[in-house]
Amino acid sequence: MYFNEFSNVRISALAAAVPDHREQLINYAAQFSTEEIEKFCKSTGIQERYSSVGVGTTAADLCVAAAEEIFQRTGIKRDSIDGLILLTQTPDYMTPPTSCIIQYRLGLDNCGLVYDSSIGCSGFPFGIQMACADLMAGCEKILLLVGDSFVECPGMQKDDLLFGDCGVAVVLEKVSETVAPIKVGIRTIGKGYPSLISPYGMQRHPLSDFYRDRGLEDALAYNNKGTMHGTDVFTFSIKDAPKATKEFLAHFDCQMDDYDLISIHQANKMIVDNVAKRVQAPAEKVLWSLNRYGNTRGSSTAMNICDYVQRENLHKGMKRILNLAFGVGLNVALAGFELDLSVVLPVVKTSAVFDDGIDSFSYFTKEGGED
Amino acid sequence: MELTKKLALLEETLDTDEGALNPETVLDDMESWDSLAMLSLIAMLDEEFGKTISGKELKSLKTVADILGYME
Repeated sequence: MYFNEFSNVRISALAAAVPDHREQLINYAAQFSTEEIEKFCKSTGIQERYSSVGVGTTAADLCVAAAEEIFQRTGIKRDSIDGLILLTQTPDYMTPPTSCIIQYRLGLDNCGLVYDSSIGCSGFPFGIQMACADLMAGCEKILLLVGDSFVECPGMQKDDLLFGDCGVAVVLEKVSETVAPIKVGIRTIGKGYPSLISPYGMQRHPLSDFYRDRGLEDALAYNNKGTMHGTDVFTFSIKDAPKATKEFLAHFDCQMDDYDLISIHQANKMIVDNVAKRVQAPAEKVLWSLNRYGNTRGSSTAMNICDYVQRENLHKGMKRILNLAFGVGLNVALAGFELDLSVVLPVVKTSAVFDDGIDSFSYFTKEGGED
Repeated sequence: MELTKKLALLEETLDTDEGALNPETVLDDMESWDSLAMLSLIAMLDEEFGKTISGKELKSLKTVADILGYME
């Protein structure tokens, strides 16, 4: 397991954005039967979520909306940002990295270190590691973006209702004064890759092979579609996440009591309940957002914090927060930090979609379009 | 652990009535044997008996006796 401790780094802003389309899961009763949906809501703990289907907001759009909120509501200047990281499993394009377009959209002209990562559900704490490492390597202020969004859902299955779309933006900066160090721990269990995977549509299993073997309808439905072995993912979550947490606490010689809030990845209610119990997190410290936002994947532990601050109307004071996220990889990531709640902004709802000027006929035309 | 205690624990885990289970009970005949019950079973076997059961093993379970085999 990897551990690191970063001194002289502060989180100076945190914002979240969701698509302006709230939906009750019970609305899917016609598709799956009322009884099935009620049971699903009860077992997952999810009642409603925000979805980009019909709105068209990609992860990039949501992250840009969250970042704009930071630039407009805080004193942080665009030209002070010298590093931009986007963590998403749902980029706008195969190439170029979506972060490059975001750099342009946000007008971050001074920002040279710009890159994407496809780290999934452990995105927020993992991204904290990346941002801190870049600050140690010479950057002054990093804009970290974590988000996922599906603008369409062909071949919808009940499990697809687990997920809510969301993008978060975090600014981390180097400071000269002494602040509580940010502690990070990461474990990767690559052997578990088959239990959470989007197997078809890229180079290992190209869509053309899938189309040849299973036809057009399936090819459209399963192109880059995620699948999970629920029981194996459950076992990994309730065993490996608590184990990594215990090792994290032992490594840094700290305990649960040292944290005011525990933000656990919002996989589903049963997993969060089990993980919370196993890491001995007192119920009053455990943050929840999945009943109203669903499983917001990589951004869920950050979304928990934004939602907590807004719901409790707490806009000041320091909180020591332990973030524990786990998922696709498989991996588990933890980040413990102190956060000044006054830097957490209210959750934004957006329907703003970036027009890149491209339609289905812009490229690869029979006449030979530009490339 | 005695058989009666194991059955009681299993009844609690699988959310069935007290005394509803015996070793011959066929899992597929039980209304409460669903994916949620399977997850509860995974958690219980790990917590109480330190056993990790894979998705494949879980699918091969046919009767309560098969589960009792793991409760040791």
